Amino acid sequence: MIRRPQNLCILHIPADAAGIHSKNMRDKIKILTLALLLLCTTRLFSQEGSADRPKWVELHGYIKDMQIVSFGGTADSLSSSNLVYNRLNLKFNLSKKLSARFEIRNRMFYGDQVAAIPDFGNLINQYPGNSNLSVLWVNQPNLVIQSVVDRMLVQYSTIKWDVTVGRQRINWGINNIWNPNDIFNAYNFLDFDYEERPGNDAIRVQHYLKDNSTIEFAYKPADADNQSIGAVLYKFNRKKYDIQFLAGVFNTDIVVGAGWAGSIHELGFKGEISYFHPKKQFTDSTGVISASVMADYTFKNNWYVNLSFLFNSDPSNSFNLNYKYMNFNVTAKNLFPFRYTLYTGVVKSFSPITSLNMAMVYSPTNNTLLLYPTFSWNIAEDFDMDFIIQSFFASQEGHYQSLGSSVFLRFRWSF
Amino acid sequence: MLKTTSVFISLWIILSVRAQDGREIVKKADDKAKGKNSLASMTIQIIRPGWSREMVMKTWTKGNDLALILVVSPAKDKGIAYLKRKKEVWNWIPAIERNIKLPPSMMSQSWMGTDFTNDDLVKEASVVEDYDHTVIRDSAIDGRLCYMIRLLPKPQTSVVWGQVLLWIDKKEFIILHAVYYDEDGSLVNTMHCSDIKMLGGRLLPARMEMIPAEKKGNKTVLIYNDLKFDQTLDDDLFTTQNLPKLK
Repeated sequence: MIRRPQNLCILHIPADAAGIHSKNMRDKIKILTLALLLLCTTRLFSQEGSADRPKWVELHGYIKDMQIVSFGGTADSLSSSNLVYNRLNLKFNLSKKLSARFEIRNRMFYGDQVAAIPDFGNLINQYPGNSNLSVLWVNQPNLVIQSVVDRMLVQYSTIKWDVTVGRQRINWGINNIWNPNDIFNAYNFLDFDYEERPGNDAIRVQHYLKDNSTIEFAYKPADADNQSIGAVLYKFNRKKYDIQFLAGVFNTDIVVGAGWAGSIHELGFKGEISYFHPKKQFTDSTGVISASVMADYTFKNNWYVNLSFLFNSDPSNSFNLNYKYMNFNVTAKNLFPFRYTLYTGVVKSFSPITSLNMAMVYSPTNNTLLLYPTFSWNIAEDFDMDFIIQSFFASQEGHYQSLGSSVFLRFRWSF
Repeated sequence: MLKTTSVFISLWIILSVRAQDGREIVKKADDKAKGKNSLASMTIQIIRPGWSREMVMKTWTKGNDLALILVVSPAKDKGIAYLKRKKEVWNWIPAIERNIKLPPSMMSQSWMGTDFTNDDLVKEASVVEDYDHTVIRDSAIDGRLCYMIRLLPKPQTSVVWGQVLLWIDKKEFIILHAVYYDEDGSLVNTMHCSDIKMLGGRLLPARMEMIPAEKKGNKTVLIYNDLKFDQTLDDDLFTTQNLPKLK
């Protein structure tokens, strides 16, 4: 067994790092460091529990360090940055039926890439929720430290009901890559460093019926009427197919959708479709269709292939490559900026601890191509390394050219 | 005359056992190992030349149709869960808070990098229903007298193996040894069971080793830390909505 280095818990922040001079800043950092230290100490008593009964509080999470180097494209020069990223997941088992979750992500960015983006700190500190649960501890041109609470919820559970109130992830997706049904918080496969996704300040009621079927209602209120999302979802299983239907309000639109997950012989076969129609001028306006289908298959010798196709009837056709630090604003209505997009992913597991995912995204619009290989290595029991490249190409001004590449080297320690 | 008669009777008994009871023996051993339902805590060790990993998980099973697996450690995988209902399998991934339905072709592949297949873990194929059974001969494993039984998959069953040989303890009806061949007749995996002791009120092996034939130094060891049979397990436990709540 690998012994976990305890001191890794502390995000070591040099107070004399460039740009931090004010006492105020130093105090903020001290508080953050103390808070982390305290939380890390909490885990000493929270980890041990009996096999059958969980402790009243559980703490898990990770610390990641990611070095990013970008080159090519319009910048035409090499730029780099580093991201130290800590996530703390706290779960409170208050009673048999009542539980609560509190999850926070703390990030420290530095490097010339950070400095190159004007007001980077405030850019990443925007959080589309009802209550502001984020703190920008340090906002210097080349050093930004930010914390955000992305889960803060209370859940009441019985065998037939779940009621969840607070900041939460409502994931209605079925497909592995693109999820037109995931209207609350669409998954973005390019943003690989934040698979948890931001939460919604919402209420969700799930009612379980017989035969593994569910009816649920979720509502995310917003100050502005045209920013709220609310919908009903009904899902059931028939003839080895998971099938779901949804209907509701999505910002300025009415939305209806359907999805399925099943198989054709040994081949996995899934799909999702959503139709968005503007609430205003209902009769004389046209809607937007977002639809995806996918097939996947596992071959002998640990090869796995996934083919996904996305249709977006209202493409923006603009591709913002500055996604690296942002939440890459995808929604179920606009999952990728082109009309037709094809994803192919080929995963080869060399051993239980090493694998290579060769992903490729292609759209006929400007022959846009993304090469996206990921090499993953579980170095030790709780210690992982990923080496990731994202390389974009497209036709621009009559030339087929590189739009830029980023190379990511990430280490992760999980606890 | 008496001798001849007794030889005939013995032969008849042996023949009838061989002809009819292969299935019965396998069923008895399978029932003993599985029970009507079970609740287990187990450790899986993946052993490779140069490194090893350990995983702790809990499993719940009810009949042949319903099964659940919850990963307890390592930290990164904690909370990952699998549900099998008849021939369908779902995978709950806590980081994205979603179920992913697995393609049927994944069943025959390695489960989380171990030498066990998904099928081994969630027992999609039934050793009783999906095969024809023939008792070949008696054979000893670790000093215990066993029936050696050949299993050939029935036509039109989606079984991963071309042939399986089982060694079942004659007295205690415990599967002690198993050899798995692919459709071309090549040896793929050898399973060996040991550390026989009382588990959940039954005499069973607490340790199973799965050794792939073509990879030298590779091995997966499954150790039962705790095993209970015939608990009250409601069908509602085996639903996709329950996967996030498993403890």
